Amino acid sequence: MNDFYKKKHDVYSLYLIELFARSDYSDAEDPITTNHYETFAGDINDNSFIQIKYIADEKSIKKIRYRVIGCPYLMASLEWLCENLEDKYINDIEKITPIDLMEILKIPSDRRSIILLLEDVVNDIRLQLIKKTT
Amino acid sequence: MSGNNRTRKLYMDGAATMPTDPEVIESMLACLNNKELFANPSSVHISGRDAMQKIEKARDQISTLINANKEDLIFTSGATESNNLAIIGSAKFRADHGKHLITMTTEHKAVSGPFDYLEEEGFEVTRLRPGTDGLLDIRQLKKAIREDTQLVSIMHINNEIGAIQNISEIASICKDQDVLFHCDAAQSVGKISIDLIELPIDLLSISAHKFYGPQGIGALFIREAHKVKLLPITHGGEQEMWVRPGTLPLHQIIGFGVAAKLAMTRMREDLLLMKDLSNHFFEKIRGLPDIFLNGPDKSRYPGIINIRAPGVNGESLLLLLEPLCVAQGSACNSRNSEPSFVLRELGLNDHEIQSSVRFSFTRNTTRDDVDFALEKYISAVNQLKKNYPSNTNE
Repeated sequence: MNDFYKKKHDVYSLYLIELFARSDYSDAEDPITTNHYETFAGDINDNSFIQIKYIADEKSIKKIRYRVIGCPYLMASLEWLCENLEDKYINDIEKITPIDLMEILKIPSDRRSIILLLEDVVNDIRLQLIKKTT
Repeated sequence: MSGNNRTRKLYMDGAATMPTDPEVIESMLACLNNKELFANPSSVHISGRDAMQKIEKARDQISTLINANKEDLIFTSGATESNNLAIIGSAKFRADHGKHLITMTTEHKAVSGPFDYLEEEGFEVTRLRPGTDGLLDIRQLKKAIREDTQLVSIMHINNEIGAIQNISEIASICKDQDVLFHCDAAQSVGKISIDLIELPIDLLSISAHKFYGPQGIGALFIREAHKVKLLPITHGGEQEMWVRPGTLPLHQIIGFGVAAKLAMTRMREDLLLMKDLSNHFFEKIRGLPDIFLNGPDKSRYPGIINIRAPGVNGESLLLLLEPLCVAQGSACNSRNSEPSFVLRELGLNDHEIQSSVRFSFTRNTTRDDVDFALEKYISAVNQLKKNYPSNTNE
């Protein structure tokens, strides 16, 4: 991580900057190419668009990656979301509550739409996996 | 020094504020450290008169820079106050000349704000839109002027895109029509030549920190200021011909004067440097796909370059660019997530606006700095684009 990111930033929290800078779950760094599920949320024209790709079996999400165009809040949120979804049992997905990110990442209220995008994505994943197991 | 191993901050946000020149700092410190020079310049005793002498020297230096009569220059806290005073003060003073005012949609908020206020006070405001290059079509202005138009306010150099308006022609049109012309010259004074003997501008706003002077001090030029032309907007003292009451900040004004004196000697050299840096910048990005200039190619101040890379989010780009200090638009608006209204007026959509970044040079900027900045910029753009969603039908 760039040393300058470690300096206190009055707009972004240090945790947000850490997530933003690390890109561990970015599909560009470690792509998923075969036999995966996919979901999208947002609108490219609004500069907020998410693509989630993941591999899952009957029990859990084995690998999950994201592609994104968006602000640092959205990018960091996706990093957090993927970290919290990978290797999780399908039944645990319901426990992921993106609204908590408002506090965790100190997302300002005028960026609340980010949470709606994440909720859409989590919901989609949940529905896709229910469909798979039934 | 070039390359990604650079560890210090690199400042390329000169349009927001310039670094204070060491000579300016020295002059201000000398004033603050001088135990004989602390009196209120308005005091009539010897110490006060000594202080006032320094004020008048600075006034002389600043008016020389713009070739104006020193009696026509009053000190303010900066361009925002100058703009407010010029626009509100003159509109209210001359309300019997008519209540129609003209400005542009791409003005700084320090100009558009006073017009919004006057609109609420019963004035009618026409806001002219620029072309896609940010420049005003003079025919639009001619058409907009009416019998009851009393004031036109158009900025000289745009702070976001560097567009230079043809203020000479605008001033002539206003003079012919007996309409007051105010110009927000915060971005141009000290950077490009302004001759107020030649240019029939009635009111001109100046900011010291945009040309290596201290923050918190500015001036308003009022042609033939002795013929009262505007109402004060603050009250409570007779300083600055009753127009702008308040104790004059001696050390800041001394620094302002020194900055003006330095600008006189360095302006040509500074402008050549800006042109060289700008040419170097464009040589470096020439041939790169999907990077576009916002604003005019010609009639642009070369020290301000606003570019966009559609497909990347500018806010994320800015964070990736650290320790490079650049901007997404006006510094006065940068903590607001609203897209730049200036870029919107050029016809750009939200997507294009969000992907825009402004580089603005100072006299300390070097070609190596430009190389480093562009290396960072291109790498950050590529990093964000690499993560762009794929296989979308959007």
